[in-house]
Amino acid sequence: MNKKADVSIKDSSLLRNLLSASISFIQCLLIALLAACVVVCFALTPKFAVKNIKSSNYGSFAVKEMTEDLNDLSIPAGLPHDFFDEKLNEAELNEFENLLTLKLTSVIKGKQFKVDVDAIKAKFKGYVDEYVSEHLALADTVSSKAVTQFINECTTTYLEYLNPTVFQFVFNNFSKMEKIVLIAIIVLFIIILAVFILLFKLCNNKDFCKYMFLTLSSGGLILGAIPSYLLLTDELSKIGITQKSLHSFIYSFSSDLLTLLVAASGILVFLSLIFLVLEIRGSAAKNSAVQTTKNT
Amino acid sequence: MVTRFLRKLAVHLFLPLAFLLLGYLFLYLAFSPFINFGISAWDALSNDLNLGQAEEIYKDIYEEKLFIGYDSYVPSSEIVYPTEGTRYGKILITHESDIYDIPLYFGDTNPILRRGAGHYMGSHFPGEKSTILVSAHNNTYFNCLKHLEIGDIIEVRTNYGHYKYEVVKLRALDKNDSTAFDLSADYENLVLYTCYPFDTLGLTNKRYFVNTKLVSGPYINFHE
Repeated sequence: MNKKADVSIKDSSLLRNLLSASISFIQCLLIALLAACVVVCFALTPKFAVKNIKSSNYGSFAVKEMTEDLNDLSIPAGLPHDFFDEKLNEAELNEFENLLTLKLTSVIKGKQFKVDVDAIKAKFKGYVDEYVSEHLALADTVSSKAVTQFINECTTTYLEYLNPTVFQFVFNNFSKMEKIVLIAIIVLFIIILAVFILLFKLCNNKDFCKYMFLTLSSGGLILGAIPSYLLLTDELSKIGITQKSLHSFIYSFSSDLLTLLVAASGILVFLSLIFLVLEIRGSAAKNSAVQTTKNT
Repeated sequence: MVTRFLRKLAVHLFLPLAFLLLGYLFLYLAFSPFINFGISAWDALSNDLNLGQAEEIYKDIYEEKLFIGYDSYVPSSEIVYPTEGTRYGKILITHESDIYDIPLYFGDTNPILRRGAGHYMGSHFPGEKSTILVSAHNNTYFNCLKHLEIGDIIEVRTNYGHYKYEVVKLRALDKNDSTAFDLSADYENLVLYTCYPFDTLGLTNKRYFVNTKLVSGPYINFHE
């Protein structure tokens, strides 16, 4: 009779352990997803993007690329290949960089920012007029139609750099993405809470601590393993975008995002260690209680 | 005591690692379409070709295989086809005592045209018995086109053979004129073009086309 009772107790204990381990496994995936969602939600804030635009020197790289592109336009127009290197002085480049930062900030925040196109056209016209007046021999061959076309091309290039399509696409979808991530966080939080209660009811205090350790440490590892690998091996530097400004921004943004994921994983592992300590303390208390019972 | 220790070790060390592997497996199975898309996007991004590097890689082959006899054939299996931004040959235009040596790149983007003549990627390679379309800026590399006359010889040296073409037509046409060249032609012809008029200030709507026919050079044998 006693043997049968022992077997049934062992069976139910094994079943409970298996069930708790399975719940732990599901829970660790949910926790990893929840932490990832929280980090992504933070990364989608305008502040985070603006910080990365500044830290990656996006503006100064964009200025260099714009000058190169404008020089590309100047070659077929019969101007020297470094025409804009001379024309766009430091003050003008700083002005463009400030304008670009203002434009991007307003786009990220979903606000309108108007650029004075006529002023830009007038600036390019000034450059061409200055060149023609310096090279009087050219004056006869200059066609006003061709000059207008050249100025329009230059203005288009200038405006293209002020309206980067990639940023516009991403930031226009920021609010939608934020909403989806927020809903995901709420849903995941509710599920995780329910599963915690289930686990708590299924186990005693010591076992609960053990499974919580398992859940949180596994969740932390799942969340942090790949980002840590990518950061340690510097895989992000292999991103082969030829546009240096975008490359620099994406590198900076991704590195910060991965660092945040690793930090979140560190927090989970730290919490798991608290449960480990609680479990060890629970075991020690239980052992001492058994010892006391034996002694009495 | 040992069993208890091993059990504890299994729970506290191996189980989290097992969960990690199982977790990644589970996530991969659940989100494989997104993960595969991410991996291919990453591959596409990280394999972007560096223009300077490509030039260096190809330079050795260019020097090695420079001299191959005329009027022969080259097995296509022996040809290392260039990728975008690679310099795979040069164009030699001779006018009186001047020789214009123009580097030939595969692709015709702005950065390429700053370095030399660009081979339009939608056209054919020399030796493929069809149209080869090459462009360059009128103020730099193709400024010399203004000196060309009907009957002049243009030489194209690639990493797999030398080709000679004879100028048959010189025309200034509208940039959208579809009669300038035929990319589906079944005879070998080289078309060089640039903005027109030459030495003009400003972008133009006209292009100067130099149509040529093959004089000599090896053809590419696709059966070998």
